[in-house]
Amino acid sequence: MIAFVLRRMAASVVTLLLLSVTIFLLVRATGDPARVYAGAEASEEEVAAVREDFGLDRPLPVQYASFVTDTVKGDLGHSIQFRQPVFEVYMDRLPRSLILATVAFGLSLVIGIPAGVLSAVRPGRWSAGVFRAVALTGVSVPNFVIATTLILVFAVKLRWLPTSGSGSIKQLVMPSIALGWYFAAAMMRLTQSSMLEVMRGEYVKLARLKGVPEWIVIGKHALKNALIPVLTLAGVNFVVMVNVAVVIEQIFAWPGIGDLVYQGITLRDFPLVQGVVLMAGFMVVAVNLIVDVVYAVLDPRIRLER
Amino acid sequence: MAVIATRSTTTDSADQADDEAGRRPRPPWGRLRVLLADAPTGAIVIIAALAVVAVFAPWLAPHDPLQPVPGALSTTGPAWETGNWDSVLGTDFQGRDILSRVIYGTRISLAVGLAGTLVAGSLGLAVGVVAGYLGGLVDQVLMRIVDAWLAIPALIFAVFLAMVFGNRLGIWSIVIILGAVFWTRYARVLRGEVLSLRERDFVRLAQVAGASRWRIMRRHIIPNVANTWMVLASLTVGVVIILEASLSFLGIGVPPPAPAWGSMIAEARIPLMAGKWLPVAAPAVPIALTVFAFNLLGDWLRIRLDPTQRNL
Amino acid sequence: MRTRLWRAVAAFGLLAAGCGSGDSSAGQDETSTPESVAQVVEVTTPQAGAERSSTTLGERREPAGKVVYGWHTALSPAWLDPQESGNVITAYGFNMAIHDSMIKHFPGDQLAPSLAESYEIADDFMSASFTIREGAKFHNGEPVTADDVEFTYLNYRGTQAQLFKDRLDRIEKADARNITFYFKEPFLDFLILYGTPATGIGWIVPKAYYEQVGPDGFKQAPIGAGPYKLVRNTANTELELEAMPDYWRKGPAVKTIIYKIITDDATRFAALQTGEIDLMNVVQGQLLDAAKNDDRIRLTQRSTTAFWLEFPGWEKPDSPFHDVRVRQAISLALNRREISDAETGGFAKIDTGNWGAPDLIGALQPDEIKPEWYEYNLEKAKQLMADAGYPDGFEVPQLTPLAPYYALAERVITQLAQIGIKTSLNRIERAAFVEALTKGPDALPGIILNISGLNGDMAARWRAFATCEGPSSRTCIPELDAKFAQYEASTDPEERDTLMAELQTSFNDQYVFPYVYTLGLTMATGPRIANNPDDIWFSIPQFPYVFPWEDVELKP
Repeated sequence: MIAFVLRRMAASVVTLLLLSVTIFLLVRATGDPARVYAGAEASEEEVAAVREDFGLDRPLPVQYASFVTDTVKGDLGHSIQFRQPVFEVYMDRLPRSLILATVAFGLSLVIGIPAGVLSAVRPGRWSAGVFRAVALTGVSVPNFVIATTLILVFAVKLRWLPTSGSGSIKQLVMPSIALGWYFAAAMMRLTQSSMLEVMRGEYVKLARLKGVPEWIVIGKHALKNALIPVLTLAGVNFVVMVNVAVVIEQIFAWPGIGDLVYQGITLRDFPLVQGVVLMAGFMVVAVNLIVDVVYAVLDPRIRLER
Repeated sequence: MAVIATRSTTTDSADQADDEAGRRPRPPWGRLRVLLADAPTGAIVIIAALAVVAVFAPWLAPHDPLQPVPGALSTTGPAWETGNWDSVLGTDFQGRDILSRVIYGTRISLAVGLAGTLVAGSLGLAVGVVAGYLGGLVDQVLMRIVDAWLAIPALIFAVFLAMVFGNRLGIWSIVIILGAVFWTRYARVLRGEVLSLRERDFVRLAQVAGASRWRIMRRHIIPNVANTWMVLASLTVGVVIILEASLSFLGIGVPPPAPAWGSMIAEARIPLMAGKWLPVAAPAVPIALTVFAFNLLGDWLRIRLDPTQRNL
Repeated sequence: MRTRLWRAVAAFGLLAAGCGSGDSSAGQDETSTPESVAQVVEVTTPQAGAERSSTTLGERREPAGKVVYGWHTALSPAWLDPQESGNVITAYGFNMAIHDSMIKHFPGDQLAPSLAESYEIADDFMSASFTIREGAKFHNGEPVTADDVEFTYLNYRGTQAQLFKDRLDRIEKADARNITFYFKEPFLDFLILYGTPATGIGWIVPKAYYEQVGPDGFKQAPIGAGPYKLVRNTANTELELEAMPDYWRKGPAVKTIIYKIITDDATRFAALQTGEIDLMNVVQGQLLDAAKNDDRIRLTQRSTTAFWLEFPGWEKPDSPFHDVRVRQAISLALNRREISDAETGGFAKIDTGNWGAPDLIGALQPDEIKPEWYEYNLEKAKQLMADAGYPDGFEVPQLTPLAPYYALAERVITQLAQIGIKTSLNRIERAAFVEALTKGPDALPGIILNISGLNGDMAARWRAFATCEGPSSRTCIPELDAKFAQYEASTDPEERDTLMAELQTSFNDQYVFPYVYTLGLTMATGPRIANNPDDIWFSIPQFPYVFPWEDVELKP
């Protein structure tokens, strides 16, 4: 067991390093940030001064080396646009993305899992059709269409909810619905297929033969096993939700991580972009590691895999 | 389909029987006739219709999608409101006929969706097969790179690449970017399959018979992962199309004035705020239909070709 | 410069009087004649050796209530620090509330002494002296002193900083409230550069505080001398400002201002409709109809800065744009009426004719504009194309606009297709565009659609965009460069006037930068604001945002 964990951790570290190299190189391929920061009318001396200030004139490997050592220390560089350490700006906004993701995630679980179970257990009923339609909308219609429609209906026409911004519970409702719908649909589909799978399995057949009441069969045996892959995937989905809410955050003026990435890229603030993408990757790798370990604890066969 | 699990444990009893008999399993296309009896006709009809529209767009569209309809300067309502049946669904904010743009948009969206999927699929197949079959250090290195790329959430990665590389190649920039974002999913899953395929007797036999590694990969491995590949592909098309729409919303998708559905929706958001819903609905419906059809197809393929592949 | 300044200021007065607002019910003064407006302006025109001391002080009031201002661009914290001001007028949207300048435009009163009680520019332009207003204080209670003014000048790092440093000979402080700048040579542009949003050097920051917290700390928590102080900055998306009741000009009526940053056009408009914001920047063209139909929303519209086209590499003989007939044909093919109607519902001006608008100091005035520079004549255009040897037109690799004017670029593309010029849109975001501009003619081949919010005067624009060595220039005409050098060397305002006019005229006669149309901005005011919207929007030259904040009032 320990060996397994150590192996996975080592792999994660390597992954992170590769990630950092990729990001580092790609970011520098975008052009000369010193020029953009100094402005179109700046003279060459002014641009050179900026370049020196930010250490952009050192050779690439040196820049990368200090990038890595600084990151390990928690220093993700200095945002050109915000004039603050990237880490500070990031931490300032992370809670908002976390809140949004948590609510959206909760919605996706609360709606997706029961819907999936119901569809698997009672495929003939009208409810399965309804759930399917809702799920299909989630994966077929882009989330910004959903978001705009929500604003039009609930904020402008009905005046029930505020249009945008962050800070109050009311402002949380629409963005989390728009964000969570897709994942609710995905959860539903996965739960459904997982349940179907498990219910066809030997264990369930045996339980039925033994005369165990149906609801215990479903609730206790089938569900527990069906949920394992669902929840392990859910973990990563949550991290994804935190990071990809770029479009939602733009529309609802929700100052989170996604919006930060977009701003950073638009303004060529490459320390910021570097930092945010790196943190996203770090989160994903970390959650994957945890999920793997949890999965290994639950299912011993996995430990033996390479 | 944000993440794909990688724990697939294939236990196809037919393959087992073949192993014991020392024979290669039948290639997938032999099974096709059996499968088609149960096909989802709705999905296939929709996809066929889309293909027809895409191919025959110049004949089907009433107007030039890039030029304003004579007399129209900006958004006008549908024919049942304006009485002008020259432009059935009305015009967009530049006065261009919406129906014509939707029809021509089929070409772009299908092309981008399929091409992006193909690029991702090809690269993913190549890497997955090589990594899975060769194993060892090659496998480790390749998979670590795959993990690293997989760790960056798709939208952020796409936005990032789009900003970095811009629109140098027009439409094909987007295709390449989409390919770059999604190939890792194929690589991961296919590599897992190849790992177990590798141990099978028919492969061992070929090795013993002296076949080169490349020949084995080409003739034995690749055809046998074709099933999974097709399932993945059909499920990815929808995701790719939606991602393109998101990129267009952010202003970095297929460059205007090309009538890509995603761009059209992005442009139609503002009239939506003013109460006009048709410019949004007109391109949104085909997107939904396309994704719906491919998802149905993918689901069906998944169940029919390999019922135990539950985690796709 | 004197003449041109006067006429520019008068032109602004005409613009202000002439351009009606969309829906404004409360007394847009339709009866004000050009003469009466010009009269008002003449009185306040500064001359060389100008001396100003205005003392109109408003009443003291107890501030109350809250106003929410919907802002349309992402905020850069650098904008809160006038010491690093760039060429972007957007920053001043915040400066005007938090900081104060020695000299400032006020509605109907240009270049008025603000933080200064009085100022005097010497006859020979070799010195400028100021007396600081008695009792002027920063938000932290510290008085504004000559030390602060000196520090602001010497520590300034923003646009034109080098020029100010080079020209300065010495600074003399007679006492805590009196300071004089001496220059090495006649500094004709000093008043404009110091007293307008051309630069931020006149916007005074507290020396002790700035040195204590440093530039970065200052941006997180700026202290100024303006009518409002910043009390909260939430993730750069919401700013909260609180009134300073002792502000010298008058006590602000509104206690709290919230700047709410909503970059998405549709969402921002929705927020206005629900009443979440009271004032809104930039109503997008397609939303104009919905806005006009809403009784509670009042619109204020101005046509401000001109768009123009550029053809990098046109000087080379093998470029299709080399022939002046081709360029003229392009100008003739632009249906500006259609563009204005489609983009702004028709209010945007289409006859400015010059790539610098007339309220820009030094720009050509309306009577110097030739109608052929904005004429639309498709037949003539086609004829010219045929004469030049391109009866069927030609292909151009791309057309690149400044972000986010993609819709306009698409319309131009469509119109150019009428005379056979086929191209497609190259959509790049603003940062990349700005950078590419500086890389010379080859970085952005094809056609460029440009617009500039560059502050200052026409000469500043010329320097940046039209000279051979200009940082954002892709054009080089050596004869015109020589003339511009003459302009810069000259110390005679009349001669400068003439040279500047000649430069622009010859440029336009050759259709080097064909005029497209003049950007029309629409700003919106909600029902809670008591003011006549025309009094608080576009109230001073080249500034489209809400000003002055101390005048804003809420309905009871």
